[in-house]
Amino acid sequence: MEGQGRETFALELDGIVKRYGNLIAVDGISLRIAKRQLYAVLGPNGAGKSTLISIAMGLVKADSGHVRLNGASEAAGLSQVGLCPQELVIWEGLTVWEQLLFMGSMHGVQRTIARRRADELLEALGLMDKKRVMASALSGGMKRRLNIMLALMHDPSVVILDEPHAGLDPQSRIWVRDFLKNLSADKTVIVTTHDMEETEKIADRAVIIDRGRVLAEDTPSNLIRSVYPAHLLELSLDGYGSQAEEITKLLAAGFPGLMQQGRMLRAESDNPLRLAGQIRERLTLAGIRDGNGEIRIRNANLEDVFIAMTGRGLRE
Amino acid sequence: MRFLVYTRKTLLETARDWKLLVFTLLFAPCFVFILYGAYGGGNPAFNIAVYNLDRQAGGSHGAGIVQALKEAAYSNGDPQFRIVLHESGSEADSLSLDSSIKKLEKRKLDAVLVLTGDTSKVIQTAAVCERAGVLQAPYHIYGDPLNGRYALAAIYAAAEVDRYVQKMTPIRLPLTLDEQFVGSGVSLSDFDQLMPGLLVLSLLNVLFTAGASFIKEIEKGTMLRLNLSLLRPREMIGGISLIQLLLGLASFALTLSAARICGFEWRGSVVAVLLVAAVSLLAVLGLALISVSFMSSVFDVMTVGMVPYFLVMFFAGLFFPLTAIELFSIGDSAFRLNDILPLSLSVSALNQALFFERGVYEIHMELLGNLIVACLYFGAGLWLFRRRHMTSR
Repeated sequence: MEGQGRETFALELDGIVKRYGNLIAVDGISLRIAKRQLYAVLGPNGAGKSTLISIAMGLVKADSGHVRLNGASEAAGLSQVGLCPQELVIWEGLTVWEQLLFMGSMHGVQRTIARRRADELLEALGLMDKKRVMASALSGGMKRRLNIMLALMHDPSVVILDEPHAGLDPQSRIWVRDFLKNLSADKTVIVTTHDMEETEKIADRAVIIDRGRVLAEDTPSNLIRSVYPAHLLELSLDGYGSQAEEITKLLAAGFPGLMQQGRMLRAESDNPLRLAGQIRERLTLAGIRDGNGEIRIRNANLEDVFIAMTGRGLRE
Repeated sequence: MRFLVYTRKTLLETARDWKLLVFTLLFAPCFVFILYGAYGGGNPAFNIAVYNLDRQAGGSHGAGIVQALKEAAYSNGDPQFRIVLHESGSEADSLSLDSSIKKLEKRKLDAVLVLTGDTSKVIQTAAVCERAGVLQAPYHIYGDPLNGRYALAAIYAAAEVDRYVQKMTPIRLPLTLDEQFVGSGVSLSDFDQLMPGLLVLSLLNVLFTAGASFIKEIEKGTMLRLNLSLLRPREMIGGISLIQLLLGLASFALTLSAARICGFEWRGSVVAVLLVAAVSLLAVLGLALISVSFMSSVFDVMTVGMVPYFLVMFFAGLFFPLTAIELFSIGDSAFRLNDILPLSLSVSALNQALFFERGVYEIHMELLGNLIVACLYFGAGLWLFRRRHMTSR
């Protein structure tokens, strides 16, 4: 991306710092997010994701650093940005249709265009039959979808969604996943989330943030490969009862790559089947019964990457 | 354009929030009916126990005074007193008097009048004597000075006794009373006198609906969307204010209509009354803006909002006048310390417009003062609300 011109970036953050008293919420983050892609900002609660987005939107003032939206200053580019907050921000006393048109008018969209746009969004997010229903009467998942629609009424080129999957039922999750993927065909979609599974499915690129700093930034598959180029072998200690501690000591001595993470021993291996055989052999020699099924071989995922980077689970 | 769109949206939300709407529109009118039921529409009739201990009871002057009290009436014919007569035997003994005095304490009676045994004798003597005042007999009035009705009951009763004595004797006081009424000259009932306060109360109730409308966007987080749409504070506050202004005027009109149904009559200028209402509403909206600047939910408005509500209700003199500290005066108009409270001048202006048939010109000083106070409150509220709840760009 080094060679790309400034006009190709939807959002540029340069050396952003934000402190709240002694707490450094954002610690010198610099990011360049290219246009027309789905970009995920990952991190656990309190990582600084929402603060970073608020700074990008001009809702919170950074202590230092610069923000550019579509190559322009933040204030000038703001009209091209749509924000879908994590909380449900809807007008309960208006119908779905009324508030879509209201939001369009607030952004200066002509009424005929706003009507067409509202119809498109209702169709795309499966709420056409709820058009005349009061927002207060919608289900939780429907309200979430309406929350997203309201951010899109003025047809922004950059859409920022804060935890769009939170509180969604499986049906709504699929709707939103497909919708966001389609949306990123001609818009820049920035999603903050700590849902790694969803990110792997839809994101073009992802950044992992923790304690206000960027830990890694790449495509999801590259992120995984950079940390876990091989397969993962996991041995669950749950089936061994009081022998768990003895097994941990025994295997740690024989297999230096095997790391304990909670009630799990985990190792990365190019040949996990051979490693599994060696572990079973060692356990048999030590007179420990091989707990059938306790050894599992799988591909690494983004959550593994995060754990490897920060040493703690994402949902702590 | 965005102002109109926002105003329409506020109208829809206000109309659909029917509980708050009903409270704002009907609270004051219902209060009118309740007060009418409590006070009645006429002039106050004072409850007096009369002990006629005159020894020539029956056809005597004691009985004459009792009859005069029974016949005493206001100019519209409403009786001045409701008499409980005690004339003879155990009905008029000291135990009975003690019982009546206890009723004074409980305010079941406003005054107790005791005509002593020599009442007829002294009046008859005075009627034939050339020199009056040779013989004197007291008549007693008992009352609770803490009861506001006692003073009026005692004055009216004493005046009636004096009138009777002067009618029956050649005694004439050196000074004669010539009473002149200001205003329409029509006597006002307790109910009538409460009307300016009730009308202003109908405007003050807008404090809650306006506060709720302003704070709802903050509480629900929708202010975030409005901020991102770069909606100007004046468009949002203007939209809400316009709807609340109309709501307040509707409540005012309903309260006035309820009062008319209950017999309240006024001949003042409609324009003056409406102007007072509109300016007062501006002050109420300013007060709502100031209040919600320090709040974060509709619940806060309905609970903490009671503080400014009662503060204004009591200290602006909506229902009873307070001792005022004069700050300065311009011409005949004095400005008092509590005039800095919104609606204080509104009560005064409405009093003049409703009861003294004053027009816009006659109350222009009150209107101007009220307008200045309203603008100060609204301006301060606007500044505070923007500063605390709206992203300024």
